[in-house]
Amino acid sequence: MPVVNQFDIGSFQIQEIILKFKIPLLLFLVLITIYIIGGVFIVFHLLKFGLGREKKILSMVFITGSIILLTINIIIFFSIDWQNLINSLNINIIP
Amino acid sequence: MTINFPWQKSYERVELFLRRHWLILAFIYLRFVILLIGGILFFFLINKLFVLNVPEAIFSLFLLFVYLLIIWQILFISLTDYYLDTWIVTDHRILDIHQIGLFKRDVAELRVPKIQDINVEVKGLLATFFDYGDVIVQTAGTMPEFNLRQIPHPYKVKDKILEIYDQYNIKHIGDEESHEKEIDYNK
Repeated sequence: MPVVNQFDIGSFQIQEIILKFKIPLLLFLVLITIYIIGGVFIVFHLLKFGLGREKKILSMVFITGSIILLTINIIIFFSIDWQNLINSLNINIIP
Repeated sequence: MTINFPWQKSYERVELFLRRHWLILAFIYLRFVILLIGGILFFFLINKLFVLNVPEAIFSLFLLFVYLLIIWQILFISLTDYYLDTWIVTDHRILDIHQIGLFKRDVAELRVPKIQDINVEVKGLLATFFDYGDVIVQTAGTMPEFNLRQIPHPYKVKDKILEIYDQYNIKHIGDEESHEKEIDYNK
Protein backbone atom coordinates (compact mmCIF):
# COMPACT_ATOMS: atom_id res chain seq x y z
CA MET A 1 0.00 0.00 0.00
CA PRO A 2 1.70 3.25 -1.07
CA VAL A 3 1.90 6.16 1.37
CA VAL A 4 0.26 9.20 -0.24
CA ASN A 5 2.09 11.98 1.62
CA GLN A 6 5.60 10.86 0.91
CA PHE A 7 8.38 12.53 -1.04
CA ASP A 8 11.20 10.37 -2.29
CA ILE A 9 14.08 12.86 -2.33
CA GLY A 10 16.89 11.05 -0.57
CA SER A 11 17.84 9.25 2.55
CA PHE A 12 17.03 11.93 5.14
CA GLN A 13 13.76 13.25 6.39
CA ILE A 14 12.26 16.59 5.40
CA GLN A 15 10.97 17.04 8.93
CA GLU A 16 14.52 17.00 10.23
CA ILE A 17 15.60 19.68 7.75
CA ILE A 18 12.61 21.86 8.63
CA LEU A 19 13.25 21.55 12.34
CA LYS A 20 17.03 21.74 12.18
CA PHE A 21 17.09 24.94 10.14
CA LYS A 22 14.10 26.41 12.00
CA ILE A 23 12.37 27.05 8.67
CA PRO A 24 9.00 28.06 10.21
CA LEU A 25 10.76 30.63 12.37
CA LEU A 26 12.74 31.95 9.40
CA LEU A 27 9.60 32.24 7.27
CA PHE A 28 7.79 33.97 10.12
CA LEU A 29 10.66 36.43 10.58
CA VAL A 30 10.64 37.19 6.84
CA LEU A 31 6.88 37.82 7.00
CA ILE A 32 7.18 40.08 10.04
CA THR A 33 10.08 42.00 8.47
CA ILE A 34 8.17 42.57 5.22
CA TYR A 35 5.12 43.62 7.23
CA ILE A 36 7.08 46.09 9.35
CA ILE A 37 8.84 47.60 6.31
CA GLY A 38 5.45 47.98 4.57
CA GLY A 39 3.97 49.47 7.73
CA VAL A 40 6.78 52.01 8.07
CA PHE A 41 6.21 53.08 4.46
CA ILE A 42 2.47 53.50 5.06
CA VAL A 43 2.93 55.61 8.20
CA PHE A 44 5.74 57.61 6.57
CA HIS A 45 3.58 58.42 3.55
CA LEU A 46 0.55 59.29 5.65
CA LEU A 47 2.45 61.59 7.98
CA LYS A 48 4.70 63.21 5.39
CA PHE A 49 2.31 63.68 2.48
CA GLY A 50 -1.12 63.53 4.14
CA LEU A 51 -3.16 66.69 4.53
CA GLY A 52 -5.71 67.45 7.21
CA ARG A 53 -6.49 65.58 10.40
CA GLU A 54 -7.03 62.16 8.87
CA LYS A 55 -3.33 61.39 8.55
CA LYS A 56 -2.80 61.23 12.32
CA ILE A 57 -6.00 59.28 12.97
CA LEU A 58 -5.25 56.76 10.21
CA SER A 59 -1.67 56.31 11.36
CA MET A 60 -2.76 55.71 14.94
CA VAL A 61 -5.42 53.18 13.90
CA PHE A 62 -2.95 51.37 11.65
CA ILE A 63 -0.20 51.24 14.29
CA THR A 64 -2.59 50.10 17.03
CA GLY A 65 -4.13 47.39 14.85
CA SER A 66 -0.72 46.24 13.67
CA ILE A 67 0.66 45.97 17.21
CA ILE A 68 -2.37 43.94 18.33
CA LEU A 69 -2.24 41.60 15.32
CA LEU A 70 1.54 41.18 15.48
CA THR A 71 1.38 40.39 19.20
CA ILE A 72 -1.34 37.78 18.66
CA ASN A 73 0.64 36.29 15.77
CA ILE A 74 3.83 36.04 17.83
CA ILE A 75 1.97 34.47 20.78
CA ILE A 76 0.28 31.90 18.55
CA PHE A 77 3.48 31.17 16.65
CA PHE A 78 5.38 30.35 19.83
CA SER A 79 2.52 28.30 21.26
CA ILE A 80 2.58 25.93 18.27
CA ASP A 81 4.31 22.64 18.92
CA TRP A 82 6.22 22.66 15.62
CA GLN A 83 7.93 19.31 16.21
CA ASN A 84 4.62 17.58 16.77
CA LEU A 85 2.95 19.43 13.89
CA ILE A 86 5.69 18.71 11.35
CA ASN A 87 5.93 15.07 12.37
CA SER A 88 2.16 14.74 12.00
CA LEU A 89 2.43 15.91 8.37
CA ASN A 90 3.82 12.42 7.54
CA ILE A 91 6.32 13.54 4.92
CA ASN A 92 8.63 10.60 5.50
CA ILE A 93 11.38 9.69 3.10
CA ILE A 94 11.43 6.29 1.51
CA PRO A 95 14.98 4.95 2.06
CA MET B 1 -11.10 76.71 3.96
CA THR B 2 -8.72 75.64 6.72
CA ILE B 3 -6.63 73.21 4.66
CA ASN B 4 -3.07 74.32 4.05
CA PHE B 5 -0.47 72.53 1.98
CA PRO B 6 3.34 72.61 1.98
CA TRP B 7 3.89 74.49 -1.30
CA GLN B 8 1.23 77.09 -0.62
CA LYS B 9 2.23 80.66 -1.40
CA SER B 10 1.52 83.39 1.10
CA TYR B 11 -1.01 85.12 -1.16
CA GLU B 12 -2.70 81.91 -2.30
CA ARG B 13 -6.14 80.89 -1.02
CA VAL B 14 -7.38 77.30 -1.15
CA GLU B 15 -10.78 77.28 -2.86
CA LEU B 16 -11.38 73.55 -3.19
CA PHE B 17 -9.80 70.55 -1.57
CA LEU B 18 -10.91 67.41 -3.39
CA ARG B 19 -10.59 63.71 -2.94
CA ARG B 20 -12.34 60.88 -4.71
CA HIS B 21 -15.99 60.39 -3.86
CA TRP B 22 -16.77 58.69 -0.52
CA LEU B 23 -18.24 55.76 -2.45
CA ILE B 24 -14.72 54.82 -3.58
CA LEU B 25 -13.71 54.79 0.09
CA ALA B 26 -16.78 52.71 0.90
CA PHE B 27 -15.69 50.14 -1.72
CA ILE B 28 -12.26 49.91 -0.07
CA TYR B 29 -13.91 49.16 3.30
CA LEU B 30 -16.39 46.78 1.68
CA ARG B 31 -13.56 44.79 0.07
CA PHE B 32 -11.85 44.60 3.47
CA VAL B 33 -15.04 43.38 5.17
CA ILE B 34 -15.59 40.74 2.46
CA LEU B 35 -11.99 39.53 2.78
CA LEU B 36 -12.30 39.51 6.58
CA ILE B 37 -15.57 37.58 6.68
CA GLY B 38 -14.36 35.25 3.92
CA GLY B 39 -11.17 34.45 5.83
CA ILE B 40 -12.98 33.81 9.12
CA LEU B 41 -15.62 31.64 7.41
CA PHE B 42 -12.90 29.66 5.65
CA PHE B 43 -11.17 29.10 9.00
CA PHE B 44 -14.37 27.79 10.61
CA LEU B 45 -15.13 25.67 7.56
CA ILE B 46 -11.71 24.01 7.70
CA ASN B 47 -12.18 23.36 11.42
CA LYS B 48 -15.65 21.90 10.80
CA LEU B 49 -14.77 19.72 7.81
CA PHE B 50 -11.51 18.24 9.08
CA VAL B 51 -10.81 16.66 12.42
CA LEU B 52 -7.74 18.60 13.48
CA ASN B 53 -5.48 17.66 16.35
CA VAL B 54 -4.33 20.37 18.78
CA PRO B 55 -1.15 21.50 16.91
CA GLU B 56 -3.06 21.59 13.62
CA ALA B 57 -5.91 23.58 15.16
CA ILE B 58 -3.46 26.13 16.61
CA PHE B 59 -1.64 26.23 13.26
CA SER B 60 -4.88 26.97 11.40
CA LEU B 61 -5.55 29.79 13.90
CA PHE B 62 -2.04 31.07 13.25
CA LEU B 63 -2.70 31.06 9.49
CA LEU B 64 -5.93 32.98 10.08
CA PHE B 65 -4.07 35.70 11.99
CA VAL B 66 -1.33 35.88 9.36
CA TYR B 67 -4.11 36.37 6.81
CA LEU B 68 -5.65 39.11 9.00
CA LEU B 69 -2.27 40.82 9.22
CA ILE B 70 -1.95 40.79 5.43
CA ILE B 71 -5.45 42.15 4.75
CA TRP B 72 -4.96 44.80 7.45
CA GLN B 73 -1.94 46.08 5.54
CA ILE B 74 -3.72 45.84 2.18
CA LEU B 75 -6.54 47.94 3.67
CA PHE B 76 -4.13 50.65 4.75
CA ILE B 77 -2.23 50.63 1.46
CA SER B 78 -5.59 51.29 -0.25
CA LEU B 79 -6.50 53.97 2.32
CA THR B 80 -3.12 55.65 1.88
CA ASP B 81 -3.69 55.63 -1.86
CA TYR B 82 -7.16 57.13 -1.37
CA TYR B 83 -6.15 59.83 1.10
CA LEU B 84 -3.01 60.88 -0.77
CA ASP B 85 -4.78 61.23 -4.10
CA THR B 86 -5.87 64.83 -3.82
CA TRP B 87 -6.64 67.82 -5.96
CA ILE B 88 -6.18 71.29 -4.55
CA VAL B 89 -7.77 74.19 -6.37
CA THR B 90 -6.50 77.55 -5.25
CA ASP B 91 -7.24 81.00 -6.65
CA HIS B 92 -3.96 80.72 -8.64
CA ARG B 93 -3.49 77.09 -9.66
CA ILE B 94 -4.70 73.51 -9.60
CA LEU B 95 -2.52 70.85 -7.99
CA ASP B 96 -2.93 67.19 -8.90
CA ILE B 97 -1.29 64.99 -6.28
CA HIS B 98 -1.40 61.38 -7.33
CA GLN B 99 -0.15 58.51 -5.19
CA ILE B 100 0.50 55.25 -7.05
CA GLY B 101 1.06 52.41 -4.60
CA LEU B 102 3.63 53.18 -1.94
CA PHE B 103 6.59 54.05 -4.10
CA LYS B 104 5.35 56.43 -6.78
CA ARG B 105 4.00 59.90 -6.30
CA ASP B 106 3.21 62.46 -8.99
CA VAL B 107 2.59 66.12 -8.30
CA ALA B 108 1.43 68.16 -11.28
CA GLU B 109 0.52 71.81 -11.27
CA LEU B 110 -1.61 73.86 -13.60
CA ARG B 111 -1.69 77.62 -13.38
CA VAL B 112 -5.16 79.09 -13.68
CA PRO B 113 -4.40 81.21 -16.82
CA LYS B 114 -3.35 78.00 -18.63
CA ILE B 115 -6.87 76.60 -18.37
CA GLN B 116 -8.46 76.35 -21.81
CA ASP B 117 -11.51 74.18 -21.53
CA ILE B 118 -13.27 72.04 -18.94
CA ASN B 119 -15.21 68.83 -19.59
CA VAL B 120 -17.24 66.81 -17.13
CA GLU B 121 -17.68 63.06 -17.53
CA VAL B 122 -20.23 61.24 -15.40
CA LYS B 123 -20.26 57.63 -16.52
CA GLY B 124 -22.38 54.80 -15.18
CA LEU B 125 -25.34 54.26 -12.91
CA LEU B 126 -23.51 54.72 -9.60
CA ALA B 127 -21.73 57.86 -10.76
CA THR B 128 -25.03 59.38 -11.90
CA PHE B 129 -26.89 58.35 -8.76
CA PHE B 130 -24.20 59.43 -6.29
CA ASP B 131 -23.16 62.50 -8.29
CA TYR B 132 -19.50 61.88 -8.92
CA GLY B 133 -17.36 61.89 -12.04
CA ASP B 134 -14.27 63.17 -13.80
CA VAL B 135 -13.51 66.81 -14.44
CA ILE B 136 -11.09 67.08 -17.34
CA VAL B 137 -9.30 70.39 -17.63
CA GLN B 138 -7.75 71.04 -21.04
CA THR B 139 -4.59 73.07 -20.72
CA ALA B 140 -2.31 75.24 -22.80
CA GLY B 141 0.69 73.88 -20.91
CA THR B 142 2.98 70.89 -21.43
CA MET B 143 0.40 68.53 -19.95
CA PRO B 144 -2.46 68.31 -22.45
CA GLU B 145 -5.08 67.74 -19.78
CA PHE B 146 -5.65 67.58 -16.07
CA ASN B 147 -7.95 64.87 -14.88
CA LEU B 148 -9.73 65.21 -11.55
CA ARG B 149 -10.96 61.64 -11.20
CA GLN B 150 -14.11 60.42 -9.47
CA ILE B 151 -14.63 63.61 -7.54
CA PRO B 152 -17.94 64.50 -5.89
CA HIS B 153 -20.24 67.10 -7.49
CA PRO B 154 -18.23 67.45 -10.74
CA TYR B 155 -20.55 70.07 -12.27
CA LYS B 156 -20.24 72.33 -9.23
CA VAL B 157 -16.45 71.88 -9.34
CA LYS B 158 -16.41 72.82 -13.01
CA ASP B 159 -18.43 75.98 -12.27
CA LYS B 160 -16.14 76.86 -9.40
CA ILE B 161 -13.00 76.46 -11.54
CA LEU B 162 -14.52 78.66 -14.24
CA GLU B 163 -15.39 81.23 -11.60
CA ILE B 164 -11.81 81.13 -10.29
CA TYR B 165 -10.55 81.55 -13.87
CA ASP B 166 -12.75 84.61 -14.37
CA GLN B 167 -11.72 86.11 -11.03
CA TYR B 168 -8.08 85.51 -11.83
CA ASN B 169 -8.37 87.30 -15.16
CA ILE B 170 -10.06 90.27 -13.51
CA LYS B 171 -7.31 90.53 -10.88
CA HIS B 172 -4.35 89.74 -13.14
CA ILE B 173 -4.67 91.79 -16.30
CA GLY B 174 -2.09 90.60 -18.83
CA ASP B 175 -1.33 87.58 -16.62
CA GLU B 176 0.86 89.69 -14.37
CA GLU B 177 1.49 88.24 -10.93
CA SER B 178 1.06 91.37 -8.84
CA HIS B 179 1.67 89.57 -5.52
CA GLU B 180 5.19 88.56 -6.44
CA LYS B 181 5.86 92.08 -7.69
CA GLU B 182 4.71 93.45 -4.36
CA ILE B 183 7.10 91.15 -2.57
CA ASP B 184 9.96 92.21 -4.88
CA TYR B 185 9.05 95.85 -4.41
CA ASN B 186 9.24 95.58 -0.63
CA LYS B 187 12.71 94.06 -0.85
